[in-house]
Amino acid sequence: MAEQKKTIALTVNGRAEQPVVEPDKPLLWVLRDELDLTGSKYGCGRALCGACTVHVDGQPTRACVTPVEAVAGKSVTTIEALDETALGVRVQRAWKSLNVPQCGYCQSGQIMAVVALLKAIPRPSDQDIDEALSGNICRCGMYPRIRKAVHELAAGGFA
Amino acid sequence: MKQSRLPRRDFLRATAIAGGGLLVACKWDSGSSRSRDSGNNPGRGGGSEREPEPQPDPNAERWTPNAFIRISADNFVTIIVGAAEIGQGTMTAVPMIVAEELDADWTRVSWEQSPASAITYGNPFWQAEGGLGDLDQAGLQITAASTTVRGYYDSQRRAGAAVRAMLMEAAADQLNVPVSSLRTEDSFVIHDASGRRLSYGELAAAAADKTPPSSPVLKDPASFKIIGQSKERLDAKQKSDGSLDYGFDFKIPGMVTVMVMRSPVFGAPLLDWDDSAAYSVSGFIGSHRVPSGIAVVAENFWAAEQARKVITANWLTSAGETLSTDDLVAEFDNRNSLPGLPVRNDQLGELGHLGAAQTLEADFHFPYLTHAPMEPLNVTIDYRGDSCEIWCGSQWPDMDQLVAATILGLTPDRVQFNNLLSGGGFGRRACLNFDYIQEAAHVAKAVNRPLKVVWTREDDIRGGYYRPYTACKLKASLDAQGNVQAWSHRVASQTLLISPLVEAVTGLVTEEVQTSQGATEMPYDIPNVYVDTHAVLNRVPVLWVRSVANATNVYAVETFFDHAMRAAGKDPLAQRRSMLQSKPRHLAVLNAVADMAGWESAPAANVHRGIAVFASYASVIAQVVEVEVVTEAQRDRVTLKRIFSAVDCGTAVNPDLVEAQIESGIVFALSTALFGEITLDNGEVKQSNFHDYQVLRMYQTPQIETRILPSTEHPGGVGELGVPCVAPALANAISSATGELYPVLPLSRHARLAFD
Repeated sequence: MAEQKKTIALTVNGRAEQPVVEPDKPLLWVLRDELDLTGSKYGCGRALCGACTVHVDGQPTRACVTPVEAVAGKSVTTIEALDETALGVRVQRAWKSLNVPQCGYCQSGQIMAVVALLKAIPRPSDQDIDEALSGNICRCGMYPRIRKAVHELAAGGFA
Repeated sequence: MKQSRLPRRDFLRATAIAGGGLLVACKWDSGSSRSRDSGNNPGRGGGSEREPEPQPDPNAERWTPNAFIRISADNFVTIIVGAAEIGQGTMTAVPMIVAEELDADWTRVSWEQSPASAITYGNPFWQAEGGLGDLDQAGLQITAASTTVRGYYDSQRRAGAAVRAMLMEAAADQLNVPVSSLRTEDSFVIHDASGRRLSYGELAAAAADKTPPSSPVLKDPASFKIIGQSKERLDAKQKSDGSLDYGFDFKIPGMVTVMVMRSPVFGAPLLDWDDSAAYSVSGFIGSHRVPSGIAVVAENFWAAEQARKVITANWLTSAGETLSTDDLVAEFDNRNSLPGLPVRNDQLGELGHLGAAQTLEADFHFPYLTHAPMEPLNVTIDYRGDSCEIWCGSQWPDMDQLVAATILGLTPDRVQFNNLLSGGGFGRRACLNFDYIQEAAHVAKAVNRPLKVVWTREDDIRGGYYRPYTACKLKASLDAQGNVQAWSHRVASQTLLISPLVEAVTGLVTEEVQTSQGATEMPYDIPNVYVDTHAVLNRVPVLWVRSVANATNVYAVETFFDHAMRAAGKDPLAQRRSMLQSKPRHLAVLNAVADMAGWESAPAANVHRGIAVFASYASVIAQVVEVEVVTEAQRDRVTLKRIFSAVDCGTAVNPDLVEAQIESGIVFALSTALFGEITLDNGEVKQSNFHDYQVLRMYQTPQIETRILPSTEHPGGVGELGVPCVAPALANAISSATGELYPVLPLSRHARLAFD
């Protein structure tokens, strides 16, 4: 039943990686178990909560249901590399300053989704925020703070 | 300034640490040697912009288990926190309390999670409550019931003040001036007359020789500089850059991953199983029988999950739970048709209903609910035969340690329990049965190598330990003027404690404080009040969930109150005010929230407001929910607009984090009000993940405004305070449009209601 392991070439946070894994293994577990990047979280395993959100060629992607084979040759960015971009640094600053995290477990995914949103739509409306971020669950309920942070970032805050 | 005596267990002992630092510890010496610093312990952090790295040295290590303030020679202060961080801000609020009295430079303060030890780190709140009898008379190291800040407040202030006094004495020696000529500010002792300043770090070694004062002088709250300020969370950075290791992320060398295959219905024994198909899964190692099922051992999460899918097992399901939640409606109504055990009886009690002009009655039903913290349960355990080390996010580390020790046949001092920051808890990580710790200890014994037991989301949703199914029978009688002359509230709930056994065996109903909370405390001035309870027994494992029975009983009280007011033709806010005249804190929050919501002004077309008020945890809250209701032929379409909260929580140590807790409670409560529900069919849980156990999402979240009323009183709890009023205020707002009572949660159960 299990597929044979293969070498999958991909770029993770700017580094060329060649993990030898089952091609159907989800990207999340390749990141966490093979590459020791544990910032992306397991929350549901079914693309229902967004805690595993990473960028694949810049697009927000649920790593828990994405077979690693599907990202072969592509560029993956995780929360660990977020501070390498000016926008990422600003988002992290906003998160600290506005006390956005509570338990914090969902926040890697929230932040990756927010960065993708602001790249695509620099001045998002409330509806844009609803559409882009409603796939990310926060059981601590910090949605109002995330919305506030996005608006303040869009207005040039935390530069 | 007031003098404050240290109780016996607060005796301090100061120790010099290598490099010139100071370590202040409780005098109690456990004599244990389990202070090994694992080096990669994630349980520390903070400080505004830097990460102090206190170096362990042999002398310090000896005292680490009991330490709670550490001052390093380079003038950093580390506060060792006994309570758990499950998101509520413990690792910021507790250090703020100490830092205030210590007069520390807040930018040079960091936190560290304490070891498991009720004696040293237990919450004094529980000590005052008597602890857990013979098991644990020192208080409990449990983070529950919104007790962290209000429990630790006094002792942490005294500790900070005592250390400050010792530092001042050391400075007086060094500068050869009287202590009275010195003052402190931002981690320095200052002699204004000469302009000389000594940092706490410079003084730490000398201060270690001073005797801690038994009656340290506490600050006048009017001079507070840290308490009462909205500070950034000390753990915010690690929670924004992916660097914080939760239990799920924690790794130890040679570790394997274990998933447990559990019975499809609660309580069914395992007959046999076949794991032959699993050997074709790359990374599968083997399987073992454990009391809770089959431990599936693999190299990693993915392999364990794939292997578990192809293992087949036979369970004696006929011996397990066969309950269907649909049947519970009749069963609980039937139970509530009979008298229960009285827990409150004012004046005539039940007889007070006689001679009424009008009597109203309703049966309320509340489903099973689950906590669903974002981080599923997990336990990393390294069992070495004669000792054991555990890493786990826990709300009750001292008991987890004890339970693991018992199962492993070790004395508790041979089990090092490392509490990690948790990805949410809501009560699940303080399980009265210690189910996941018990299971992990059994697995460790069976597998005998370093391992992590992980739960999938499906395991979490189906794993039990739910908020108990509950029914309430409410009865209110109005006199000819429409005044409430009598009020009765009967609670039937599957109980959290042992009383159902007594009821089942003896037929005697027994009191269950947990299930009547919020009913017993019905706040309104009504002459005749009667509250009684039934304890129901079945095999679905139940547990407290954020705000426990307040969530259900306050829903019944506050919606039924509005129901009675509609029958009497009276305004719900005006009547609440007039029936709470003897409760100034209730009145203050009601008035404040009415002001915020513009209650006195007419709302826009189709906009309706509902209100509710509630006091517990030494705090009071009133909330207004504003909705838009559009009535169509078949349904009432409801849109949530705004939620206003007015809070009196005494001193708000960190007002922004208090607001965050209220916001959090509101979102948590909306999930349960709108759609939260665990159902069983022939013993099988029907829900499995976030698609069928829905929780609130961004687009469903209304605007939230929170006001904290100024106060210098002792802090009250806020972790659960935001929860209980939300659903009744929402239902009352909808009722204001429709005139209906909504006695069943979730509201999605009412066919006419549709939420946009």
